[in-house]
Amino acid sequence: MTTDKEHTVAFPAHTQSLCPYCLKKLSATRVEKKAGVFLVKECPEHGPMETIIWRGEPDMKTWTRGKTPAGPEIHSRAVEKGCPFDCGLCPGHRQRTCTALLEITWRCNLHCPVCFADSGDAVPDPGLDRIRAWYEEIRQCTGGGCNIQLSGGEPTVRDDLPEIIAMGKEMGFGFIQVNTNGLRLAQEGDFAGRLKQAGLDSVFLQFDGVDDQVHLALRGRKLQAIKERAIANCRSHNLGVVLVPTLVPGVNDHQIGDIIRFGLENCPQVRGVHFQPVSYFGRYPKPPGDADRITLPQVIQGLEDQTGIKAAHFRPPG
Amino acid sequence: MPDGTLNPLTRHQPGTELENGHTGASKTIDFTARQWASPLVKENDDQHPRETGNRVIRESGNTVQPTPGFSFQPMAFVSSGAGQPVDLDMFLSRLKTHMFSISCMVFQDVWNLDLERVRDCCIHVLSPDGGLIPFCMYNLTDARGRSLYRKT
Ligand code: SF4
Repeated sequence: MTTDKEHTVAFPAHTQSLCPYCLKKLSATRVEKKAGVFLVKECPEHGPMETIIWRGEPDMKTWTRGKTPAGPEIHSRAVEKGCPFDCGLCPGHRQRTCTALLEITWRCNLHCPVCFADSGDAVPDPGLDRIRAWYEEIRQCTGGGCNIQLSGGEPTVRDDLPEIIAMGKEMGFGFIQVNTNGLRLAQEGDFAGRLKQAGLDSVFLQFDGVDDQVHLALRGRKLQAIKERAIANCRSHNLGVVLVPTLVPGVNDHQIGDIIRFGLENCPQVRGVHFQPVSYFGRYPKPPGDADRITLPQVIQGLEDQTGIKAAHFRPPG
Repeated sequence: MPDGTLNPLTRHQPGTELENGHTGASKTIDFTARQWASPLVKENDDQHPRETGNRVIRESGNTVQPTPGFSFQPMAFVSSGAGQPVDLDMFLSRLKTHMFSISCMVFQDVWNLDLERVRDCCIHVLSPDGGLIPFCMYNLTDARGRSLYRKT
């Protein structure tokens, strides 16, 4: 679309959103403009606002795969106040749980400017009994057939992480992954081995770029050698690693190709790359601008430009 | 790629028939578990991690990484051994060990939140108070940092 004229897009243009200031539910429209597709909404109290949601090719209208709803069979909440105020899940939800995330600590050993997880030491870690009850609840709500991601905070700060992993495996969860910055995996050579022995399947490794400039900008610290050591230690113990870059415009979006190449060089230990464009949770002095966002087609474009993989070969989720 | 050409085998074709959501969800769970876990390599098969042969992009069936926001599913690569011709046996055995996935997920925040999409989210955080909350909703805050669901 290269016309100057604004118009609402042909696919379901209408949706709903929330007011960023009072969290009131608002009706919202996807509007196609010259710069891309915007989510446009207006709060009676806080006025109109719009945010870029799609920039460039492939066309947003083509980015769907029709599928029948496949909501969970067990609902912990009824539909009362309307989405998204009934989460838990409610019967309005259209997808069952694929991955259940457990936040097993609030502590962290790295304090990153872009982090949206809390990292205070004030809240005590949940004990093993509590975590057992959590696993039990997930098993009841989902029938057990979902993947588990242990998260935080930084889950590796817990010395009983191997016990937590082993407990989940004993309770029948087939796939357990730990979301980590890799510090402890790098620093303690046998830590990866202990996690592997406990039954860990995969390491979801924060990996924002291939040089310290990016790590300094995003995490305030030189981390490249640490990341590489963490991967080497996972290799010694045959633990699969997924590289997870948080993409921030102007900081590391030029390294999409380098990250893929780094991953391929470390294949098969590195199983893949999972990009997460930056999102805005928490307190911000002013609303994030459109230049602060990388939309999905821009990631696809980045992949095409920086690796030669053709955009047409990526598919929306089924 | 540093060392070879990419030979894509499939592409996204929009507007095909309706897929079964339950099958899609199970495939997602299985694919993630298979692809992201440790490779099934024997010690001696892992001596040449830096291949210089061809790389082949291979669509791995209905491989899906699901979405709270917008996402694309992993595409998979198979890399072949150094300097060796790609024969079918080798291709199939490397498919097991040397598949590489690329995926992306754009989380929603209070600014770009699209509630039609949130209802399709399948990554859920277990709330310490009970209940499974879609990831983006659990982390959502207003402009002043006040959470919709998160208590701590
Ligand atoms: S569970 Fe799903 S459908 Fe129900 S309120 Fe939460 S996001 Fe909306």
